[in-house]
Amino acid sequence: MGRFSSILLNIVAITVALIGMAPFALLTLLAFSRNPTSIEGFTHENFAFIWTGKLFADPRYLQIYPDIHLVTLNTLALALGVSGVVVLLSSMAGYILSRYSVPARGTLLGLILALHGIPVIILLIGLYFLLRSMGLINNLLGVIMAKTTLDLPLGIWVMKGFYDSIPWDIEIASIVDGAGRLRTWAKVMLPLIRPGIAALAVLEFISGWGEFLLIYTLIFSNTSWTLSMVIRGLIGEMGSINLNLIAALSLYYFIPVLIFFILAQKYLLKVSLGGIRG
Amino acid sequence: MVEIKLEKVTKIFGKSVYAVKDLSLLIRDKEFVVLLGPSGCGKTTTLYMIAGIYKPTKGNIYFDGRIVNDVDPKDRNVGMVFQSYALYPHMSVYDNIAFPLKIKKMPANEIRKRVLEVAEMLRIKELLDRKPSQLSGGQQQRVALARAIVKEPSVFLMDEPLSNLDAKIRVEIRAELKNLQKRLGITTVYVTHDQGEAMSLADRIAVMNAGTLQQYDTPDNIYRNPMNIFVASFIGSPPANIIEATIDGEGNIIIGGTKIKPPEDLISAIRSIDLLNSEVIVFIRPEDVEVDPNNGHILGNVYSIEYQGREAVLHIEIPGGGVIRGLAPPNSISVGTRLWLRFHLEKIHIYRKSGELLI
Repeated sequence: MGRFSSILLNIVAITVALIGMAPFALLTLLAFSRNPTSIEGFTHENFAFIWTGKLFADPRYLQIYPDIHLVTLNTLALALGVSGVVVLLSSMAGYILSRYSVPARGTLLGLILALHGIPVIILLIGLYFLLRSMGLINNLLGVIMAKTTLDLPLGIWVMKGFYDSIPWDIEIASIVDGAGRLRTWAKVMLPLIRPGIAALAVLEFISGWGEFLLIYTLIFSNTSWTLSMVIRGLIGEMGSINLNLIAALSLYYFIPVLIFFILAQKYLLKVSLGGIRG
Repeated sequence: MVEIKLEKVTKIFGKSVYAVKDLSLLIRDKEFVVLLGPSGCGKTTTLYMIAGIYKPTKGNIYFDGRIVNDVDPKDRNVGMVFQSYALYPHMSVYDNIAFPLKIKKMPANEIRKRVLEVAEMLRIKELLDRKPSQLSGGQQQRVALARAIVKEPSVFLMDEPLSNLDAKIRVEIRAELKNLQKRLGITTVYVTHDQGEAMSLADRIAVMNAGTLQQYDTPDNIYRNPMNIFVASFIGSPPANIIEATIDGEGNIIIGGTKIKPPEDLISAIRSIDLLNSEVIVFIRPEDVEVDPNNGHILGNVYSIEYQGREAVLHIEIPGGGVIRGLAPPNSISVGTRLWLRFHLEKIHIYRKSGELLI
């Protein structure tokens, strides 16, 4: 019975995994396909843009599609910017919410969580006017700021959870040992929530790397595009002509996320557990 | 190094939770004082107020005559040891001990010298490169002690430091701690709920309950002359007998219907404070209850026996339904035996029903 059910479970698990992997397999096959619209033949020419930076040989298209190296840098800037600022701000805000007697803490925490639940799309018009008045429309910095604001609630919650798991005694020991509150935070608390910081940094990097809606709304000139925007442009205009190129670019877009996930798996798992061990 | 005085100190949490109420306490220079009481009695709150982590809501705390209510913990020069050890998990043992010195910006070679000295004193020199998670409980507590000692504090504050240790290591470190405290001559305030630990360590014990001080005296005085029923029942193992009794018109004590005639001086004491014909509580320690097969004050029935090695604790049912604890040589008596109890009446205390000591 035990043996039979374990075989059954394995079959189910493998089937589910296969269903999930099918699109990736097709994408990969298409990316290496010689035929631009169906899986046929093998070539790595579709990935030429990685070296040349150019998606098309035809100079007319270069007007429409920016250099991929530049786009990659933009995407990286957005991802690192969001990750850095969210980690910096939430590691401080989370500490305050966890350790200080903040007035109306419960309400504040509830509000932070509710903020996280608001669909981004209903904030777009507001964000647009806000950034325009600050002169940050069509500017990656504006997108980083908007994205950071939207992601902060989650970051603060995650960081607060990690701080909550550090016993008070350790903090009191440090304060009695002569360190002020600020030094206790920097020398004792921050090193202890390092797994949390790593996890949040990776989550936010991926969140920034994958951002599409804000770029689509707040960026006009293609020199500030990110990879998601280029892919969307290609699908819209060349979806039926150059599928293999789109597949290659998609794969290129996906690889860093995959690598990051594999490297950070053990930290990401701790977010749900929310704890650390001394 | 420093004399600590608490003057009518009160700590209120929130709006009306009195953690500590009107506590006055003088802890002399070099003295080892234990704050003893059940959990929630305010002893840890008191310790944290001395450390400067909590500020008293009312009253003053003095170090050597200077009010320190608003002095930050870092400026009080206290060394603290916790039940959880509270070592910094990400630092090596060396860095843990060196931490308070690094904060003081002491030169590195001076830090090294002092850490090694303290490590030598506590026999943890070979552990300096390890992380706290690689140490046993006893070793962790030694490191925590080292970290408290290395800064040469004027006060040691210890919050149940031995409670997480095995019984054997606990007794070992207890002796070490007492020896160390006397050798270094550092004023120490030690919090525990374990009366045995309090008795064995303290110069003086402050027994607390529900935020108020019950008695503050030497272990011997607290053991022999508890000021009220709470102290009487909290101190001592096996616990003392606390027996409801009546005093008749002639000054005899009546326990469970049996009349006991006290010695003359006790009768005159009873008369002098007008206790004739009143309900009281009688206190007597098990070691002051003797058993005898032939005669005594009350005839009882052995109901249960606890073997303790050196002696046995007898639980004896008496007429009226009460149980009295007494001591006897081990293996001398079996359950169900009828025997006489004889009280050492010169050792008894009499309390009012509300708890205060009368005689």
